[in-house]
Amino acid sequence: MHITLNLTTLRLMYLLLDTTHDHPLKLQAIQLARTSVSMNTQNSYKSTCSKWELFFQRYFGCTPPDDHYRTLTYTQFLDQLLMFVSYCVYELKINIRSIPRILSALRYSFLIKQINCSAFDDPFLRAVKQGVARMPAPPHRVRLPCTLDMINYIIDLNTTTNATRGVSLNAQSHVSDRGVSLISSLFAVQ
Amino acid sequence: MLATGVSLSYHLCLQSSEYVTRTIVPIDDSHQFKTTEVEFMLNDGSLTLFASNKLHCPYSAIKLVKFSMLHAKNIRRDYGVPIWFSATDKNNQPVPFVQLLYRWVTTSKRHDSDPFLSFRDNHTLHCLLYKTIQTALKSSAKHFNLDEAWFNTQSIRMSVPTIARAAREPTAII
Repeated sequence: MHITLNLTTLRLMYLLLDTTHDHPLKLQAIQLARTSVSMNTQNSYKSTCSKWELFFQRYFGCTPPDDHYRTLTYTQFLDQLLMFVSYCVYELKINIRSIPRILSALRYSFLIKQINCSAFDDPFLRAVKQGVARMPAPPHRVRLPCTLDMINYIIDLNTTTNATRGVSLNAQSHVSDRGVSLISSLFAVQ
Repeated sequence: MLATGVSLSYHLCLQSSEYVTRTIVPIDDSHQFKTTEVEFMLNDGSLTLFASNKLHCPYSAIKLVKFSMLHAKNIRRDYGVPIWFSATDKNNQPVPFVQLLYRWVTTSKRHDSDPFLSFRDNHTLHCLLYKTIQTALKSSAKHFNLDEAWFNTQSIRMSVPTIARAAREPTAII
């Protein structure tokens, strides 16, 4: 979402607003912070927030309101983060390669709520992450690259009559005969 | 569209996120080629580039095709990396990949801001979906008696053989 307000409007809005509200310029800055990661990444981060909420409900009996974190001490917040890492590793049994990403997602969700994230840089939390990284990891997924034969097979299937909409040999009345025959012979060979 | 998408990804070593969409309505925040980012240069010596949806000439009039590919870590529209393909090979024969591309370009209706691998049918936009590519790859693997679990949209990418080649693996293994 883009906010396009001129300076006069912004000043007027600020005067009309209660002083406890954020200045419109700050709201714009918050919006910029939200877009510091791409939309795709923001979407993938959402699942981490739900993990955090589940964790909180399980161990603290409720979903914490945002202002809860502002009253927490550094040590309390750090403890919760440490517990969360253990919860992900031992209870949810999440792939250990995903833990750094989960913590990045969590950090981002706190950051845009303007909650102090310095606990994320704590040396002890870093040590825990390193410990997690040393745990036995599941093998990497096997992925093989497609061969040209495989690609040509898909092309062949999808350039024949009644194939994928938008391209079919019958629809190519204005393509040169030479071109069509070349592609056809290519498929015939393979 | 599927045939063009598969061929394009194979020849440009792309991952799925770089040429298809996960959603029916594509989001701006993606690496997908826009219609205007695939351009053709003609043989007339003018060095003029025509956007893919503005091309109205026979295949023989084409000299080159240019793709402006966005970085994996930078999706700014004005920072595309150019990749060029000749329309003909050293024997002056049409390059099948470019020819297939040409056929897609000249048979599909798209607006400037539409993804390259999309078409409009009665004003409705249809895009090439990740799932469609994935299904096609898996069924192709099955056809060749290979385990379909090993094939996914990222399998089109040639990183594995490239790495293997760099590591001086025997060609048979590659």
